[in-house]
Amino acid sequence: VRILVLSNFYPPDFLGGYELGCAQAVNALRQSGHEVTVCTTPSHLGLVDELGILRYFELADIYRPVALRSDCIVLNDTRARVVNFHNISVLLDIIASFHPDVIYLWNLLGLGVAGIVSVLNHLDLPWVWHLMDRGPVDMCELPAGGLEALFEESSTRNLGKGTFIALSRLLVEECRGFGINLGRRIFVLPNWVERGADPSTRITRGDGPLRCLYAGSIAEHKGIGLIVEAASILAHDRRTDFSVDLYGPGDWEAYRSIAERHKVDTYVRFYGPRDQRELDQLYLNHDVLLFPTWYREPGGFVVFEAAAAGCVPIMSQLCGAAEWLVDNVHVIKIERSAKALAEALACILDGKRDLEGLRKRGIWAVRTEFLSARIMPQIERVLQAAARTFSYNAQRWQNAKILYNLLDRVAIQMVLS
Amino acid sequence: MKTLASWVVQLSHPVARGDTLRVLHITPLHFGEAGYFGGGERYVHNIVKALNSSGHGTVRAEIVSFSKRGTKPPPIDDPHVPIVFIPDDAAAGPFSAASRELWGLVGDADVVHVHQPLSRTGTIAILAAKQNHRRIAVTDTGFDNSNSLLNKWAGMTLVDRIICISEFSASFFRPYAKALPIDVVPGPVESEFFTPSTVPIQKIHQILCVARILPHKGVDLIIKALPRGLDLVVCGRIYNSEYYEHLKSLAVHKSVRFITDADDKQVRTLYKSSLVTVLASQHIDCYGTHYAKPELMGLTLLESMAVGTPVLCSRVGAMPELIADAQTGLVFDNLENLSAILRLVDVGEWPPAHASLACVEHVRTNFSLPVVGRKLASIYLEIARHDLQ
Repeated sequence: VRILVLSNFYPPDFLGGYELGCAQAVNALRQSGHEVTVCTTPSHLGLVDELGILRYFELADIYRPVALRSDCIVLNDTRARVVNFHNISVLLDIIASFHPDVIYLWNLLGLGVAGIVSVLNHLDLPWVWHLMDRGPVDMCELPAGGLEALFEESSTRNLGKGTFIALSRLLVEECRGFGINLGRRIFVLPNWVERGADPSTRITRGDGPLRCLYAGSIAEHKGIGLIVEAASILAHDRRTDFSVDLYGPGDWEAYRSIAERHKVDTYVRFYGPRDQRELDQLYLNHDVLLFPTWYREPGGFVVFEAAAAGCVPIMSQLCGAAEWLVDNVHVIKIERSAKALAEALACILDGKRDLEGLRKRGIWAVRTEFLSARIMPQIERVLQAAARTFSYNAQRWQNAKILYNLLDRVAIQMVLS
Repeated sequence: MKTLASWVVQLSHPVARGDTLRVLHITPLHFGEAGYFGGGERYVHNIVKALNSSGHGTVRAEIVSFSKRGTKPPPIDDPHVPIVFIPDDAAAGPFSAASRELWGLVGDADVVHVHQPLSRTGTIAILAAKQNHRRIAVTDTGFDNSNSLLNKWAGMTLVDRIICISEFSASFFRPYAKALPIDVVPGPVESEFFTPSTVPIQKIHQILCVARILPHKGVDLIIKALPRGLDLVVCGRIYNSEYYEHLKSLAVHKSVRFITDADDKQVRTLYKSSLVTVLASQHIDCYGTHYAKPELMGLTLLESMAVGTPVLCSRVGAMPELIADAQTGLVFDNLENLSAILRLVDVGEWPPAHASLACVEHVRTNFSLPVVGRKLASIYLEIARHDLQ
C-alpha cells in the first residue's frame, strides 16, 4: 500500500508521544513492505539524510508561540487550526506525484487542520486519522469571526467520510461531547511499546526508599502540583522513606519552589527532559511511576513503557490509558487528588500492596497485549481496508487549488475584520 | 462507451429523472426596508417570482438571505417567493455575512445562484457551493468591489455560468470570465403589477424620476434641465440627506415635488399619470465622485414602459440597452441635450401618439415575468445538464 503520512512534527522534532508514535508506526509499516512517504514541517535540528521524509509543510506553532500581538495570535491560530493554503497546495502536489492509496493523518494542529480535512473530503481521497489527542475538536475551536461558516460545517459534517484510529474510548466520547460525529469507521487501538526496557535487568529497591518516577511535561494538568502536595502529606506524616524524580520539559522551577515551600525539596527532585533510551533505563531504576494526570489525557505511552519495565504505574482512574490496564492487577488506579496519591504511596510504604505481583502482571500484560508487534498489524489492516486506487484529474486539482486559496484568504479577512 | 457507474450517475441526476430543479438564490440582503441596492435586491425577488409563477414547472426557486442573529426576519407574504433567513454568524456588516447554516441549504440545491458575488458574502456562498460540488451561477446587481478576492484569484473559474442583467454588466465580468459563458437576461419587470390602464388615463403635465436620493442618480441634472411650465415629481427614499438638501435648493423656483415614502401602488399611479419617466444616472456625480457601475440595468425605466409611459435616460451604464426605439424612449448625452428633449415634452412634440402601446409591447415581449422566467429556467437546465455530458 502506498501511504502518505501527514504530521505537524516528526523526529528528531517532537512534542511528545504523538510524534514519536507516528515515527514508530512509519518504521513498522515500512518494515512490513509498504511504501510510506511522510510530509511534515522543517526541523530546527537540521537532519539531511531522511529518505521519504518531506519537510515541506509550514507550521503555525501554537504550542510554543513567540510573543505576539493579539491580531498576530488570531492569525497564527487561524493558520494552525483552520487553513493554510501553502500546506494545502504542497499536499495536493505531493498527492499528485506520489499517488497514495491512503492518506494517514497524525497530529495536524499547526498545519491548518480544517482545511486539510476539507480538501481531502472535497477530492474524495481516502484517509485514516490516528487520534492520540482531540484533533477534530481542535479543528472546530475556531478563532472568532464566523469562521464556522466556512470550515466547521464542511469538515465536521464530512468526518464520517474518513476512518479513525483512536487510542481510547474516552477520546472518542470527548469528540462526541463536542458534537463531533466521527462516523462509523472508528477503531480503538491502544498505545504500544516498541521493545521496552528488559525487566530482568531491573535494579531492585532492597531496603532503600521507595523510588518514584514521573516522566512527561512538567505542567499542572499532568498532576505535578498533586505530586508535590502528596509528598508533603507523606512528609507531614513522618513517612520519609521515598523519593520522587521528575523528568521532562516544562515549568519545573515553579514546582521546585513549591516543593521548597512545603519543605519536601529533598524528596522531590526535577531533572529536565530525557530521551527514550535514558527513560527506559530510568524505568528500571524506579519502583513506581506517578501518573496523576487529568481526565483529558487521551493515552499515555509512558504508562505502558513503565509497566513493561516493571515500574508499577499509579495512575488517575479516569484517563485514556486506564481503559487498557486493570486496577490492582496491573496498575494502581486512584481518584485524582493529592490525598489519594499519598494514601496509595503510604499503602506501599506500609507493605500493604503486593507491588511485586503488580509488577509481574504488568510486565506480562504489556508484553503480551501492547507490544508494537501486536498493535501494528491491526493498524496495517485498518489502512488496507481504507485504501483505494488513486485517480488523478488535473482539472479537479487545479480547481481545488483555486477554491482553497480563496477559502484561505476569505478566512484571514474574516478573522482580521 | 459508458461505464455502469456513469449510467448510475446519470439516472440519479435530477434532469435525467425529469425532476424539478431546485435553484437556491443567495443574496446578502433581501429587498425591503433592510435593502441597500433598491432595484438590485428587487431583482432577486422578481426573478424568483418569475421562475416560480411562469408555470414551466422545471425549476423551483428559493431565496436565502441573512438576518442578524437574535432578530426576527421581516415577513414575506408572496407565495411565489419562498425565502429563508439564516443568522449571520460573522456580524461584520451586511455584505460580509456568513452562516454555518448555509452549508446544509447549499448541499440540498441543484444549482446555486449567487447574487453580489464580489461581496464577501457572495464569495463565501460560491466557496460553500463549490465545496458541496454544486452548479453555480452568479449575477452582479451593483456591488462595486475592485478588491474582490474572486476576481484577483481566478475565482470566476469556479463558477459555471455568469448571468448578467445587461451588456454593460457583462463588460465587467469579461476580463475575468475567459471561456466562461455569459448570458445577458435583462429584467424582469413585475408585469402582473405594472400593467397599463384598461381605460384611457388623463396624463398630468409632469415628468417623473423614480430613484433613490443619491448623488450618482443625477436628479440635480433633471431639475436643472426642467423647463418652466413642466412639473417634476422625484420619487425615492432619501439615502443622502446632504444631496437631498442640494436638490431642494436647486428646485426653489421650479415646480418640483419630492415624494420620499411612496409604496409600489403610488409609484405605479405616478408612472401612469406622468408624460415620461426620466433617469439621469451619472458616472461622476455633482461632488466629483466616480461610480464604475451607476446603473447596471435601470429597473424603473422598465416599470414605466410596462405601464405605457415612455422614458428618457442618460447614455450611462445599461440604460440605453433598455430602449428599443424613439417611440419607447430617448437617450440624452448632457444637460443641454436633456433640456432640449424636455422642451419637446413640454410642448407635446414627444413622445409620439402610439408610444404607449409600443412601450407595453416592448416590455411584454422582452422583460415580462414569464419571458425572463423561461430564459432563466433554460439556463439552469443547461447548467445542470452539463453533468450529463
